[in-house]
Amino acid sequence: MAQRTNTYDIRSIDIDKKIISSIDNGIIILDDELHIYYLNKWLAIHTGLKEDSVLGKKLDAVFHNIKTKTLTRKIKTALRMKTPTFYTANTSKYLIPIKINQLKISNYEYMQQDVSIIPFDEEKRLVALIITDQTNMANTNALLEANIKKVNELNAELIRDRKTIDNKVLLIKLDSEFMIRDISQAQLRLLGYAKSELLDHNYFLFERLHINKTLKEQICQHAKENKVFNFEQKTLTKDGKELWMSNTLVPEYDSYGKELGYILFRNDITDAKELQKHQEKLLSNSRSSAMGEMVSMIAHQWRQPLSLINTLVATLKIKHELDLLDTQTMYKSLNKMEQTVNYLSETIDDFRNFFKPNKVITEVKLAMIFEKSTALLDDEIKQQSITYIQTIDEEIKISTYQNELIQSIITILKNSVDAFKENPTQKQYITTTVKQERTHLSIFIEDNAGGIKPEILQRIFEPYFSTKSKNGTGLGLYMCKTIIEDHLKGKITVTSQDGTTQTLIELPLSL
Amino acid sequence: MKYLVTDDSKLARLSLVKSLKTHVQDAEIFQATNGAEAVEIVKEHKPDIVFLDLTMPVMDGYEALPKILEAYPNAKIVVISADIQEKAKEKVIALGAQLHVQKPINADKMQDILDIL
Amino acid sequence: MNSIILTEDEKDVLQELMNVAYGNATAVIAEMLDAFASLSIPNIKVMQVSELMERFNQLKDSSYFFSTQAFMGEFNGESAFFIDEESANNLAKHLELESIEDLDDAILELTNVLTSSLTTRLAQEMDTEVSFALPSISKVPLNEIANVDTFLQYSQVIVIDTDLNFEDQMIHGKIFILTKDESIQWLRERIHTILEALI
Repeated sequence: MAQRTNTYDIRSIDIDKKIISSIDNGIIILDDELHIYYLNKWLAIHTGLKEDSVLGKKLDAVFHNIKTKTLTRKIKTALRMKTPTFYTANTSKYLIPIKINQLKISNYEYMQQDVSIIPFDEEKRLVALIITDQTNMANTNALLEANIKKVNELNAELIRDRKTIDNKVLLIKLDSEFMIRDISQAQLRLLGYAKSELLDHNYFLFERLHINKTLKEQICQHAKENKVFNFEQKTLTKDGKELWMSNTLVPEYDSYGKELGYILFRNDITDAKELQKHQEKLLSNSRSSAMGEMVSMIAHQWRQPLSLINTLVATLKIKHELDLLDTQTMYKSLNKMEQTVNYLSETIDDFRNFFKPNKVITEVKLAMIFEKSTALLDDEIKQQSITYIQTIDEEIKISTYQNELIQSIITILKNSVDAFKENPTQKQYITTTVKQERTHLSIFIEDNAGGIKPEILQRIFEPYFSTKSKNGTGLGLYMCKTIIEDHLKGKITVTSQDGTTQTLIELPLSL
Repeated sequence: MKYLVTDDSKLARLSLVKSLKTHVQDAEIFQATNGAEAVEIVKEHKPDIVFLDLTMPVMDGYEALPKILEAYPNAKIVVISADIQEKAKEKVIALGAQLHVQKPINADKMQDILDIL
Repeated sequence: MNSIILTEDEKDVLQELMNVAYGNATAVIAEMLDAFASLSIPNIKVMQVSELMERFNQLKDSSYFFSTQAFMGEFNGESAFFIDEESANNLAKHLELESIEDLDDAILELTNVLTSSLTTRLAQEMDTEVSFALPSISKVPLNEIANVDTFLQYSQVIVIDTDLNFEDQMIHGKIFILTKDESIQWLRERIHTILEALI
């Protein structure tokens, strides 16, 4: 050990001196008042000082940066303790200022040093200062520290994200056997369970009431093939409340690509399902109300032909009683009646067709859609002396659910017709213009039936909102909007000014 | 001669007693493991020399020292302690101890102690 | 490794050796600080590392500085030193330090003095030598105590803890000497040699 310096012989000192002068460390021998007794070659080269010129001088006089008090304290301590004491580059940076002249990038202007203070001669109060270049280490440490800081920041961010996910995202982690490995706080909160109640339980067993055999097979099949699978299911909370979940099952891998199992991302779609149920009810309500309107329209349509048949029958009867009925007249009347009955029959067919929702998308001409839509209103339009003007290019076609579109158009035109009943005006008109754009087409319907007040205008699409004095269910326009926006992926807007009302329907050319 | 060895450490007492016995025959040696015990023994047996440790449970050496002297003013007290701070030495001398000796005690040190006393 | 249980005699010897060594260390520091420390009886305990980490964690909350230093030789291990913020400030005041770096340096020096004189003396009492490697003394950020690898390498440790207590200067610290496995075995043999020599 270093303190064993009591016995020296000249030879060993010579050997030591040789070693000391070629060693890659700085060595200074000082007394406890910092007088320099020895300086090795390494230090002489690095500091540019000649040993002769500094011997006997005080170290803190040669290097003014040295803290006299601290160094003296350390030297005294080392001598007192008879063991080495240290300065480390961590905190002290350097003792002897040595400029770094290398070109390589360094964080430091001066060589970073570790300094050991070793008791050398207790009698003479001498210590050896051994200086080690720690610049590389310090650079590495600085780099490491910067990286650790970055890693810590990223880690903190990850932990934050994780927390957010845990609190906000409904997820269940499953192993490859569908045992529940983990479950987010958000999901636990929603279900009202504690984590321990669900961990290590089989997912299918837990959801056995809500996942049937077919769905289970589908899930397993997708899972086996590591495919993402979307499905909806009901689930029960701990206190028995029924919820609707939309699920996305995603395979999970560790960072080496090894399968860990699956993650089930869930969404609470209970509200959406409720809304859907509500809408379905509204839809069926509106169907029956539309049906009612249809019946009244058909009654209008039938009045004329029925009275025609009535007249024909009466004429035939009278002619027969007066014996004036000849075969020719009879056939003529019967033909006329047959024609009229066929027309009645067609009307019924049309009626039945339009109110059967389409299951398939078909390509149809817009002109045809309007022909069918107006056929049922023809009679009323004529009766109320409304001028109906239609500008539709024969070539414009659309791929959509045609009956839904017809139903919507009938609703809008019928609203216009009904408006004239409440608001008869001079020169009553309804105009329809259809324009084809690049990806969609615009149907523009305008009437001059008095317009709509602004406060009413903003409510016309609300369900059960009606201004009609009788027979208004308030579902017509609501259904129109639902059909056009949800089913036909289009848009409907209604504006009104100066006693006129404009309805603009924009529809994609193809669904 | 009567001796009292006071130390909470069995090792310390053993080594003290052993080194004492190498120099003194027919000694009557009492042992105490803390200051309170020491005071009691001093009251009862009035030992000539009391070896006293400083850091002990129940009652430490600083507290015991004056009480021992009070119980038997002729007792010579030798503080045997690991606490070699100058101030600790000064303090025990001021309290009436004859000597302050650094632990541990071996036969050579014991010889010196007995010589001085 | 099976659980180590120290007998009362073994504990006593270790405690006394520590007492002597610590007296030495305190005297050095007292001189360095020109102050007087009151010595307390060292605690000796065999602990699982988890238990030790728990104690460290308790100290962590009130500590300002935590440093460790390894020592090598037949008797080898690590020392750990905690000092609280108030004590660190008082130390700075007492040493008339100028900056925080100086304070860190002074505390490292304190650790070094404590460890070196403690373990050197302890080794000396046990008739062996220890040495200290320069880079082995380091400051550990308090929040990383639990990640100090060297601690985790220990399974069981003999923990000798004692308080550094400069009443007048209000400087208090806690020192742990940790040693493990082979060293524990060596330590026990040495303790028995010492005991046998006395009986």
